[in-house]
Amino acid sequence: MMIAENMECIIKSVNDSSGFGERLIQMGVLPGSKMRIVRIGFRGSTVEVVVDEGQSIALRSKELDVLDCRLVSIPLSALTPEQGKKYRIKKFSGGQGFLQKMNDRNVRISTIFEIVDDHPFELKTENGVIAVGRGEAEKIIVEPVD
Amino acid sequence: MTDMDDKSITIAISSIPNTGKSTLFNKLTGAHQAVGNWAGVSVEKKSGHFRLDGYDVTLIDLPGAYSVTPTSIEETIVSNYLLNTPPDFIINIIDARNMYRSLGLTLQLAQSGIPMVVAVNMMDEARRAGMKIDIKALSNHLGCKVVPIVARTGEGIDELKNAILKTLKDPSLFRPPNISRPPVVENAIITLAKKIEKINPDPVLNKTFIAERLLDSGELPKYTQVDKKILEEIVKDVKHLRAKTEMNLGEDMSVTCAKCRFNSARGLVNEATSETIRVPDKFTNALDKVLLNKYAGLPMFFIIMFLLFQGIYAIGTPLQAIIGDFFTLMQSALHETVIFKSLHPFISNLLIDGVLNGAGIVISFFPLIAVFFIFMSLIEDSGYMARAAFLLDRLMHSLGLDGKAFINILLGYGCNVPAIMGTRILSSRHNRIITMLLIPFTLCSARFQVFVFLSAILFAPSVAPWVVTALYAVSFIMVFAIGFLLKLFKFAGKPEPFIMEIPPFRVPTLNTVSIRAWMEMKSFLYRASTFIVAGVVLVWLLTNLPFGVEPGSINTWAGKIGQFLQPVFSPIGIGWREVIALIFGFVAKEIVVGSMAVIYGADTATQILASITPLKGFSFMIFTLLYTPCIATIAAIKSESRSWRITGISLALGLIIAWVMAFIVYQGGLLLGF
Repeated sequence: MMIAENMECIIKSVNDSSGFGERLIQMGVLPGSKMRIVRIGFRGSTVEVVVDEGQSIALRSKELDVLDCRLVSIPLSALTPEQGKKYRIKKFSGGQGFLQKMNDRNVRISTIFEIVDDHPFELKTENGVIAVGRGEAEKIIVEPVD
Repeated sequence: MTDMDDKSITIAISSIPNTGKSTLFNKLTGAHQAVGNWAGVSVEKKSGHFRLDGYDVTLIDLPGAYSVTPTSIEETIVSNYLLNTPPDFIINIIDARNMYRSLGLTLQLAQSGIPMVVAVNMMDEARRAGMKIDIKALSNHLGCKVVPIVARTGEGIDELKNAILKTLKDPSLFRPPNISRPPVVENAIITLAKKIEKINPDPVLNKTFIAERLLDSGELPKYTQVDKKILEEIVKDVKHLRAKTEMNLGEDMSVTCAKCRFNSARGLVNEATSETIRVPDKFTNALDKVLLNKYAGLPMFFIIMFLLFQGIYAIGTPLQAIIGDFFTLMQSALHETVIFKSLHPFISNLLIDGVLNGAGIVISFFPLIAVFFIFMSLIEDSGYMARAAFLLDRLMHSLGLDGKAFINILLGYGCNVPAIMGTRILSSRHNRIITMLLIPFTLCSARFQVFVFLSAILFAPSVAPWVVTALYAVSFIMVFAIGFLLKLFKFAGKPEPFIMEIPPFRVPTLNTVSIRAWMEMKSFLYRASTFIVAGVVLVWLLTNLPFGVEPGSINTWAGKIGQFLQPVFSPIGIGWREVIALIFGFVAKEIVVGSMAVIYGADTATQILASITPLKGFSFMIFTLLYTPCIATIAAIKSESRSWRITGISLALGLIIAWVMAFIVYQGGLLLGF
């Protein structure tokens, strides 16, 4: 499973025989629950997630693999170019100045794009290619388009 | 009213972790507590007493569990307890700030049919966050009395007691709630419940509850008086019904059952609360931004650990030394008294230098244990322990442990005894056992004294500090190497999956912290003292028998053992005199230095320098570093693991590894021409 800070996903099913999934279920983390990754620990092995009901839980990223999750939102900065993979801009997590700057550059909510490059980010939209800086990419929250 | 008129009842207190269960338990019982363990497992069982208008209540503290469906040791204990020895009454606690996470268990408990009262705890924090809770709606849906409380301040405790009394006197105030389930599940439960109704002699538990437990996890109360054939029949039915429902719904039975529960819980939360607050509150979020920061987190951790270490040992160790000195003074004073002078010298020495000395060692640990647990409670109750575990998880995961174990091991560098007692906070038996086995390899402050003394004699002043530093390095490396070894051989079985709730930060209460420190001292006294005194007496006998020999000399039994073991110890450069010192060292490392003074006689330093080369001395220090720290540590391991096997393994592991390492050092040193 791909892991990035501020990523959100919905649990679709729990395929597990190791006891990990069973315990999550008894804690009320069930298929249908939404999880947000709050922070990733040293060298990515441990993560803190917040479940939609507000529980903060530390887990190991390896054990998260037994969960079948649907990606709901992810910061643009966590993504890499992939041919034909389309995303939609879901929200901006920046202040007024940032929103204005995005608006001026024609980067708007619901814009659908494909990532062409990630050094720096170049997004191909129907209206042409937009360049976005690394710091800006962290504040642009996107969702995959199936 | 006299005690005789009181009716004895058992009330169990049950909740999920981090809802303030211990705080409420302490508030209800005060320090009238007893600590034991649940049959067959090393999970602590606390019970206490309190009086309730006409009732003499035994309060059982059930371990924090997320549900009655057994997926962990704690949950298995709760499940077995409820099914096989149902209490007269249950107190369940809900976290007001996040009711959803608590309600899954609450609904299961309420369905059991055991009369119950629900306490909604941490109401003050919920109020502060602007959250309103409709207690009446909760009460209607859960079918029992619900009382808002603040366990920390004692707010609502009287109301809670009142609600318990009322429900005890009028059982109609309690009725198991309904949970909506898919028709297939409902039908399966009804079918099973009818069958159980027929055979069930159990008047307390609700049949629907037993039926659901059966369907969910296949557990049935131990009906010893029921014909085995009938039980087998039911088990068969369960299998069949389970397969049928699972096929129909396309998911695991346990998932279905949990979904039903938590859907009800979600509905209940929506109905009973004005606003759902995000549990990681602003304060917690802000603090976590610093304490769990990618770059600042670890340095902050080490600063906090430094303060913790200093706090515990800067206060505790001097107090331990003062008590130790007091006992030494008392011992020499007693030797001069008329009573002991009139006794046979052997008897008076045995009493004073054996028994009393042992008692002194036990008592000298008290302040250290108290201070240790006060600081540990602060770290744990505040919520920082979970953060530390998160930060260190990567490192400790390589040993199959989780981050919390790091703190215990680190604190072992001060003193092994409280560090081993502190393993109780670790999350699984696997982690506890492994950590317990690793702590004795840390360089504790008593070993440090031996090393400072010997290296000052054997090495030049410019070299001596480096020798001690090298020993610290050896200790760190050995802890990790042995950790890897134990993991490689899967010594304590498979590690459990790591799921750790990170609770919001909270200010610990004085009441909880002080009761904890008090209980720990009490349990150390009960569980470890006989063992320690016996060990001290044994070593005293070895170093003083047979009659009439010079204590600690070659003619004593210890000296004989030293000579007998000479072939074993000569390859590591340790002579019979040092073997006697090592035997003394089983009691406590502090007395190794003193015993050398006895063995070598006057002008110890010159004598030692004359008979031990620096290499032999270093080998001796390596052995001292790695073999059994002291009798109190063994006693702590025994009382925490509740297993002679683990205690024996710890002893053997220490001795073998000490010998092997000393052998490598000594023989290697000889080869290199030292």
